[in-house]
Amino acid sequence: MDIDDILEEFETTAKTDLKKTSVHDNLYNDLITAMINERMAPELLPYKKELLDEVLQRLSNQQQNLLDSHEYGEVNASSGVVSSDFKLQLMIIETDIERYNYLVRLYLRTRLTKIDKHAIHYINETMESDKEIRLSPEEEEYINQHFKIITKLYNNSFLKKMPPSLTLLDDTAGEESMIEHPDINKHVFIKSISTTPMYIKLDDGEDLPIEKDGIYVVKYNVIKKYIDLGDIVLI
Amino acid sequence: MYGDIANKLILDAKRTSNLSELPLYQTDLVKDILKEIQDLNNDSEYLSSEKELQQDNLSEEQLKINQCQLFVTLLSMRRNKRCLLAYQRLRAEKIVEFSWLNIDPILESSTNNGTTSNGSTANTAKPKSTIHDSNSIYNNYTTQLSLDNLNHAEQEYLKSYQDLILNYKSKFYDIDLSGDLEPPTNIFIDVRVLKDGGEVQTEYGSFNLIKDSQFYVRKSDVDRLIQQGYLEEL
Repeated sequence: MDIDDILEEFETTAKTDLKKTSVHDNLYNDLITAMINERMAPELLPYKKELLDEVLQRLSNQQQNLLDSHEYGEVNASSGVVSSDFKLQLMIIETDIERYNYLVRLYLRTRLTKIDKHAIHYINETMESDKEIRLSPEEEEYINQHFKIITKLYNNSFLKKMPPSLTLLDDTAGEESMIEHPDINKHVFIKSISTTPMYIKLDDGEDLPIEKDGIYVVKYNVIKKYIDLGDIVLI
Repeated sequence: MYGDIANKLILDAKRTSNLSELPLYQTDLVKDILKEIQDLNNDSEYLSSEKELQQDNLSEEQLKINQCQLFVTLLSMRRNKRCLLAYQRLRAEKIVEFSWLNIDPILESSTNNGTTSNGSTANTAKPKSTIHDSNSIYNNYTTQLSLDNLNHAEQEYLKSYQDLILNYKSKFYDIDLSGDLEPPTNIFIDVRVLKDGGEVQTEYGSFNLIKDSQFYVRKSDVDRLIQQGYLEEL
């Protein structure tokens, strides 16, 4: 059996399962888009709960599937029931799992880095209940816990030995605020994936026509809402 | 001059940011700065009380001088505080970085010097020179941490942060969150052993860590060993 046979076999199995694979494809692309958006955006984007839940569920299924298959392979290896490309199939599944694993890992770790960087900003934001919630419950727990232990570190190291007027961490008096905010006016590279042409209002009141597949550099603030809608992706 | 000690601390922090390990906590400097802040605080209290007491006796010019003095004193205090915070934050960030690597901290600073081959050349700050250099992303990473170099509060912080990420990771049990942040290429890779260690058990059998020997193993099995500097990816 050579590589063509294997490919052909894949095609036939893929066809019978066409609907499922197309969903699978979308999931993969969605995850990549979510990951890249998150990496390129200067502020934290809303947590993609549905997408992540779906991916995690599937990963867990595949993981279990893989374990079962390995067991099946080992039990039947001696009797010759297992075909030679059985191992290859498992390898492909495993590579795919690794790939998803990596994407999810990068996505979550990127979010945590951002959360740590602007901790007080996001904590204040979660306090305001009317705002949309960006953090997942896990991240909310993380941010609060981390803030608690880092405050403890500051206090124990030196803050408690200072005059009371200086012990605040979120001091906004004086010239500079101590709360660091994400820079939402940062310039970002964007690509339009919307099929209908659209116009974006720039700061100076001018309209910027956006074509499909066009690549532009604009301030993040201006295109923020289009990322949520999915008309524009960051690159 | 007020603020000079804080400057030293910032210079130390700047040096730290390029190192792959965390240098000794500057206890003396921090203590001196705290003392300076205390002095400044006394000054400012004296100045404001003087202002209140002698409000009527002082000429306008003297009042201005007093006010200016007070202002500069307060500013110096704030600046010192910011320097301290910046220093501590940098160290905390390094501890965080290290915690994600999943390596055990070094207990005694005298042993294990120069274990990470690439780590010591960190200040070249050259990101990702070649793809083959598997350690490239760890160049500016904190790959070594000696507990001796941390002050007590930092040790406590390290411990609580490790607990914190353990707790966070446990919610995504299928994902190895502290794994390599380079995209995966192959499931199986060639590795060379950099230093002796014991026997390693994997799903596909076991192998012995003997220096300079090579193996073909599953990447996810040996990720930790690579991070710990036992193995090098070829």
